[in-house]
Amino acid sequence: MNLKLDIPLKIQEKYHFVTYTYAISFDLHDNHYVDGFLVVANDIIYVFIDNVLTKQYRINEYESIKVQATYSGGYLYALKDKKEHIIIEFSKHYYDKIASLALGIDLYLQDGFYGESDMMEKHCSICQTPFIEGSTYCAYCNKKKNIIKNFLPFLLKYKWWIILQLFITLLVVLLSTIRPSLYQKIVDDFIDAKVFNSSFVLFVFFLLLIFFLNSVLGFFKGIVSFNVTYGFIHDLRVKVYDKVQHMSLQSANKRTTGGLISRISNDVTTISNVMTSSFTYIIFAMIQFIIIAVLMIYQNVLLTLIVILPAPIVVIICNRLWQVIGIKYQKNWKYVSSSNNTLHDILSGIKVVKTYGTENKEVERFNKASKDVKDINTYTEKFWSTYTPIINFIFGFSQVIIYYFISKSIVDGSTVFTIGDLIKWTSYASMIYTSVNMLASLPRRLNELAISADKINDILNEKDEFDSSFKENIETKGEVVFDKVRFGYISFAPVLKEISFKINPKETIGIVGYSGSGKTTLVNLIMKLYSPNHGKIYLDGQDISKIDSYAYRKQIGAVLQETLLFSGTILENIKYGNENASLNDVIRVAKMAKAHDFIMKKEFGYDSKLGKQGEGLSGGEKQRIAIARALLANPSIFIFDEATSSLDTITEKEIQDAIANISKTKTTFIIAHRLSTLQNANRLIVLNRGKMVEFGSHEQLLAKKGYYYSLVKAQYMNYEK
Amino acid sequence: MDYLDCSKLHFTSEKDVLLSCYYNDEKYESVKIYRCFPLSCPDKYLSIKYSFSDGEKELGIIKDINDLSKDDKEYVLHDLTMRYFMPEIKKIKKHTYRQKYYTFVCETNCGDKTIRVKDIIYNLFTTKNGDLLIKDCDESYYIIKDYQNKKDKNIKMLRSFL
Repeated sequence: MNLKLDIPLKIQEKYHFVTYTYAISFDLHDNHYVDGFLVVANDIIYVFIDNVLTKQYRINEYESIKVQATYSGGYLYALKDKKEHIIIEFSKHYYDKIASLALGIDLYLQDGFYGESDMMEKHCSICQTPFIEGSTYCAYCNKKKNIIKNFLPFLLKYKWWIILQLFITLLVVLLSTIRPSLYQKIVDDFIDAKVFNSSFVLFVFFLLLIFFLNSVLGFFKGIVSFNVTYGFIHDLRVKVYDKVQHMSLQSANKRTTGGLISRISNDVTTISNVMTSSFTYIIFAMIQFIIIAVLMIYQNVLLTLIVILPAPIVVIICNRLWQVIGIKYQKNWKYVSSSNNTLHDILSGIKVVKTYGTENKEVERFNKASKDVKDINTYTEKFWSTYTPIINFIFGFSQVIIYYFISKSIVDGSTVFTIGDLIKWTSYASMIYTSVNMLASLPRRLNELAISADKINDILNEKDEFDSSFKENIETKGEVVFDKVRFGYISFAPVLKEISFKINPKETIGIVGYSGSGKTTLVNLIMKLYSPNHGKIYLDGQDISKIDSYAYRKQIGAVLQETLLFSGTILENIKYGNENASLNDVIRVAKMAKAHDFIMKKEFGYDSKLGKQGEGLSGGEKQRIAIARALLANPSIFIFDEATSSLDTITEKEIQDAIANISKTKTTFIIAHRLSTLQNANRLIVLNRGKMVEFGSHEQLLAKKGYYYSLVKAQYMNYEK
Repeated sequence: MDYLDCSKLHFTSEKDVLLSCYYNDEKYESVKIYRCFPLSCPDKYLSIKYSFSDGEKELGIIKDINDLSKDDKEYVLHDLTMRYFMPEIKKIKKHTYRQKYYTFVCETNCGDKTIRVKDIIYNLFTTKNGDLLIKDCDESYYIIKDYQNKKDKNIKMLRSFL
């Protein structure tokens, strides 16, 4: 998100800002719309209203800078001695930007440097229309070009099929354009002349053949089209899914799960439909339009103009009518949905209705909702009944004009038109209008394509976290060093600040602190799921940012509070991280994880099938399978993040024994809610609000009587209570 | 119920600073005023909150804004106007439709404003008071008071979306 806009010329001419940290616009002052601009330079906030400097604030004089939401916007304020000083007011349009700015300035107040926003832009910088969620394509400005560039390789794979499809399309069009001339011939040379001979039969046969060929070609066109469309959808969907799998967690977290699913399913289908089917129809329409237009001009320019000139009017009227009918149906859906919701409310809350004796009130409520649906349905259908004849009339209008002109000239005997010409030209008019109607949908289709393509490009253009072809394994001892590490999921809202420590190989480290202190974030960084914003993390003296992520993660085994097992057998689940492991190894790790005994009690032992997400196992059993799975990958570092917090004390003891087994040979990090479970840790990292406040052994920290001591004491008192 | 005794409640105002108030001779800095019923009863049942630890705490509720002294009422109304900022549309000068968006060029009591509304069917709401609320594509609200009796033909046009 750009928080450093160009300063307006009028302001710059007077105040000459050479360097500045932030510059953004806003729109409200004293509850009126204004042309507002805010500049942060030299640790001062300058506020301009209509290009005039109205206020300035020395940032260092305030405790914090925050944003407060209001009904239709918010205000930015500076806090000092419990007083909130309002810096600017703004409408909701500016909310995200000004909230980011507040975080950035607040970071400076807390930590001494200004943050940069890594949020996506929400509005088009030209017309200020909000982007559709997940997209930065503006349907108004169409500023992005080459939007389909990424998809061309997928189409090229089917280039021969597409060429075949276009060839068939061309044949269909050609055959269609022959038909009116055949009609003319049959009418003029045989029906009008009252001749019935072998030539007549031949012409009728030709006509039949054209219909037959059209049907056969239509059949093949369908097969080719399905092949291209579904092949394209499959290829693109797999590619997008592959990208999602290989993007960093940081990138994945910028998008919602629902949003990603929607892109993989809906947007891919939209792109495919437009690029494979809609374009074919449009090409068909264009070719048909051009051929018919050329044929018509060749035969009679005046009649051609009579047919073609009303076409733009027809398009405009049709579009307007479609717009109105669209609104009518949207209203219809809204009312039906509202009526259904009312029904759902009443039926699911029938107990409450009975308790309060409000049956009649609820019947009345539903009666009103149902009547609304009846009224809107009647109104919409009435409109629809009017719409169809109007369209028919418009389409028929040019045909009537053709009828009029040709019939008049036949009757007058002024031109060489025949009855056959009459039929031929009305057929031409009908074909021209069908093409025009198809072409009129082009902008709508292109817009749909652009929006979906932008959302898919957003994923396809994302850099892979690591090269999936790189499979080099590394040997490590397990020494972990954090050097002044700072990290925030939004870079200017740090969750961890200036963390430094050195962990020796095979050491067991407990990580403690209240919820939100940064414990899980710390292990996320160790797992290289995120990269620090500042500082470095080293494994055996090597900067982990320089180690291939695939090879690095092979050295990490993690067991988290929420264990995710997949559908399949216990054996498949344990072997998930190491497909080549021997059965011997599987049993060995299961024993180390204290899982072997309960597995053997199952009817099919290691071949026992698990349901979705490990259905059929208790929480403790799932955890032990997860530990075995992690062990089989033979990592040099183990992480247990609240792995026992949701378990009963007996199961917890069993898992702790398993962890104790492992920690003898591996560097182990344990996050545990119950501090008593960390007594065997060699050392403890104590976190408070993102800072490492203490680091040492349990005994050392207790003797120090600092923060850890107070944590232990608080927990002990809780147990006593 | 913690209804506030308005005779013991006084507000003070400084330029560009949130209101402070004295209640029972105790001072509360940067108080915020919220409407309990912003649409159905905007001038009654006003909740006064002050900063407390990391959040806010309710000092109490003013039953009716008219129970306050003239000056206090003015301070409170000013704060409420900012917190419940909702421009009143007086006239729609022009409207256009493109790509699912209706654009309205409006004259409001807060100055001229161009509003863009997506999926208009779902973003117009009527209130029990006979007002019409419009939610724009940024989710800001605008009000047209007594919309049924407005003469403006562009405002009348909005009825077809209800």
